[in-house]
Amino acid sequence: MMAPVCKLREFLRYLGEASIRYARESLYAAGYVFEIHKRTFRFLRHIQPKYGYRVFIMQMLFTGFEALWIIAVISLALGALIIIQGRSLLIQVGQGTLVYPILIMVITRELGPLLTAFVIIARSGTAMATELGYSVVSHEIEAYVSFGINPIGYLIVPRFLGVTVSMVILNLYFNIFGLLGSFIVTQFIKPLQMNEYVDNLLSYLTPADVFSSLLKSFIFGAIIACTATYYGFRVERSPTEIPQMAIKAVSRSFILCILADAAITLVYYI
Amino acid sequence: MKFKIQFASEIVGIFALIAIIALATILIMMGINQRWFARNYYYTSRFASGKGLEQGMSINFKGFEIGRITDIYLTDENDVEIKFYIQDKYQPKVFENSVLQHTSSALGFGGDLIFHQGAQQTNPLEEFSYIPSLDLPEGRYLVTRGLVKIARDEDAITRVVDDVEPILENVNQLLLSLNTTLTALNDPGAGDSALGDVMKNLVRTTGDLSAFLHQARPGLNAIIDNLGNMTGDSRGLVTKLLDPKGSLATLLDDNNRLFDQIEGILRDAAYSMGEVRGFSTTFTTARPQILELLEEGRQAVRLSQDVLEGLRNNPLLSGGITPRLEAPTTQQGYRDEVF
Amino acid sequence: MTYSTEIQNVRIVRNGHALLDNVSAGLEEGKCTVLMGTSGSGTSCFMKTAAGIMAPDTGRVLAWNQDIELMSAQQQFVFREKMGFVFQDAALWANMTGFQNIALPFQFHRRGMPQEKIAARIAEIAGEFDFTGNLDRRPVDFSTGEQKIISYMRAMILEPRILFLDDPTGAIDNIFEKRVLDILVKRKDQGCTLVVNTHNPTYTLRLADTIIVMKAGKIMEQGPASQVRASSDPYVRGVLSDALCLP
Repeated sequence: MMAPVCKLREFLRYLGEASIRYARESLYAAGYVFEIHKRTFRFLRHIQPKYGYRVFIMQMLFTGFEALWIIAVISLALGALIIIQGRSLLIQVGQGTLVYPILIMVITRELGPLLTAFVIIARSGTAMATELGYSVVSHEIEAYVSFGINPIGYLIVPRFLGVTVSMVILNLYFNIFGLLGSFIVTQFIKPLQMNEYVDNLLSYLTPADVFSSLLKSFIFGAIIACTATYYGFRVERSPTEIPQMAIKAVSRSFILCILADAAITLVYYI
Repeated sequence: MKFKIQFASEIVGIFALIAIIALATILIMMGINQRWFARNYYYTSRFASGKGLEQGMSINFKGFEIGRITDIYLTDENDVEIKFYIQDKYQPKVFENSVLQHTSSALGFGGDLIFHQGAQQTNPLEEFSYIPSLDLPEGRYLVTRGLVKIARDEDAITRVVDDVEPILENVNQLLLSLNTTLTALNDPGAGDSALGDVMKNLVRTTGDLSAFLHQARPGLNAIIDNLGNMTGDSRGLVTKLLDPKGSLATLLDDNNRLFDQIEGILRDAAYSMGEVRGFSTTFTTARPQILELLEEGRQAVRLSQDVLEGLRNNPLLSGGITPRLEAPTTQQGYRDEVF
Repeated sequence: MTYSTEIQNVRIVRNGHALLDNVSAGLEEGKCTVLMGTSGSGTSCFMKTAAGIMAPDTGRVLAWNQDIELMSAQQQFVFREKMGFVFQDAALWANMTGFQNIALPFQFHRRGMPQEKIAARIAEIAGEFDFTGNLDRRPVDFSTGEQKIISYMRAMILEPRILFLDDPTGAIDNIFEKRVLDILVKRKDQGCTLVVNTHNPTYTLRLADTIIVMKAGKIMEQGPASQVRASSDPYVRGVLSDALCLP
């Protein structure tokens, strides 16, 4: 009789401790995100070329510019596939023009921001988490603190801005390549009239599509930057913690981006 | 130092600039394409039902989008009022007596709101004017008077539907009138002119139906011939009814010949309606509305037959309506189907 | 007695292990305090807490009579300007050159200073350390000893009023060791407070005014150097080594 009661108590204690731990961690993460945003406003108010600006530029170079070719390849292939397959299928039911709203829905509203986010998570999310984890282990962060240089203000804010802005810009490129570049690819396989294509595309593309796409990419960028840097800072002492935290940063970023995508899409349709 | 690191600011600047220029270009092109800065002229219209109407629905004229619905609401009189705009370049085409028609498109993909221009070229209607729809009597009145240019739709199925709808409506109206008139015949005080009108309508309606069926499907010649015979019969009947002596007395004193004749016509009409319905079945998998309309027509004919029989079997004359064995209808809801 | 920094009843626990256990000590202004203890005794933790790098779980740390945790951002900024810290493993910023490592605190605390003046100041301090290597390299291209020297230069570039040195002689050769010691004595003579965590007898003998001996996060002995050196406690005598113990 006593054994089941003891097990139940143990289970309840475990549950309670886990809840408190998660609540504490969530509060800490919320505080961290708040601090990033607070310091971002401060950074933007007092932006000076010598501090942080260079980190911001380098972050944009690595996260944005260097990922451009990957984004171009993915979006060109995706756009061309939708046009070729979608048109041949939809023309059979006399709804050939439906390919344009489908293209916009896939490239602009849904997969564009999400695939761009995935590329950035894979490239920059891991890199940031690893780099910051290493900085913690090698006491570089403590060195910043010892000189009164706030690590969030100096290290995180430029990265946060760099990733977020890069994400928005890369998403724009994804759209450019996906919507227009794929047209060029299609010309080699199944030619289409340029003016017909552009006119149709522009008549179906709404400001809400563009806004939703930009909003998503902005939020995804913020999520990736916050999550990657948060887990980078979660490394405490050992270098073996670095890959563990990098994996956590990637998986949490994926999940959060997909949840945010679902939430924004819901809001869009409500 | 690596080139990329040395010129990082410049590279990032170009990278961002191209994206911003592209975004601005796309927005400007969207604005031009979607007429963000062009003038729109707003009008109102009314419909019997809001089903199939939605905000943002386009208004087409000869296959071109000329405007869109901006607002839909239910009035105190339970009509559905819409606000819509006509683009500035098409506004001069909005003549007086123009009407709107809401049609369901083929294969069940949404519907269309079609603009029909007034037949006579006038100054464009003023902004915020009321443009009637064919859903309501005022719109149909304009069509009957020939004040509207009705453009024929390109879509074969829609064309058939467009033709079937007014004809069936006429048949329905005719049979209802017939019912009313025959009922009135029981009233000793009633005159004979109403019955005459009814028969005239029947002539016109069957003529319309015949023309439509000729156009819609040459294979329906048998039906058309049937209707032709019917029409021929009714002409004799009409002549008889239009005779100044044609009256209740005529109706009652001819040993049921007139009754038999009317009944025969109605039977033929019912049969023809059945055949039209059969023909339409080919379309109905995609367009249940056609079958629904035909079914309504068939029921109207059947009702008229009942009324006529009731008239003949009037307790004053004979003994009531014989019970009818209910025949299963071909009209089925989607929920009745077995998947 | 004026303290540059004072820690009061500080306790720090990590993963159930007390790094500092109810520690109280004062670091006298213009004097040198030498921290000693076996490995893991909490000396590095003590230094980081006193420097305001590590926050205590309980207790408080005062810098010039101000609680570090309660300082405003501006007060923190001023306090950090007056403080230099040389880490045990140099802790240079890996993504910057040696020059940038030394220049960053300077740029941060002397905003608007022309690049030429910064370069001149760096050249001056490099001359003081007799450092002739090329500073335009990343830390990974320097030897561990060079990294430590750069770490010294970075900590001293702002002319701090209190200097924390965690294992100042680790990884550096004898010539540099002597050179650094001379520089530290000079700084002390100029009124700079020194907090040194070392086992080097030469450094202790030449620099120490006060000695704090720690064991398992607790202070075993603290007081004037002569007093501690005369301690009869076997642990203290073991830590001080024969060269430092007075008969």
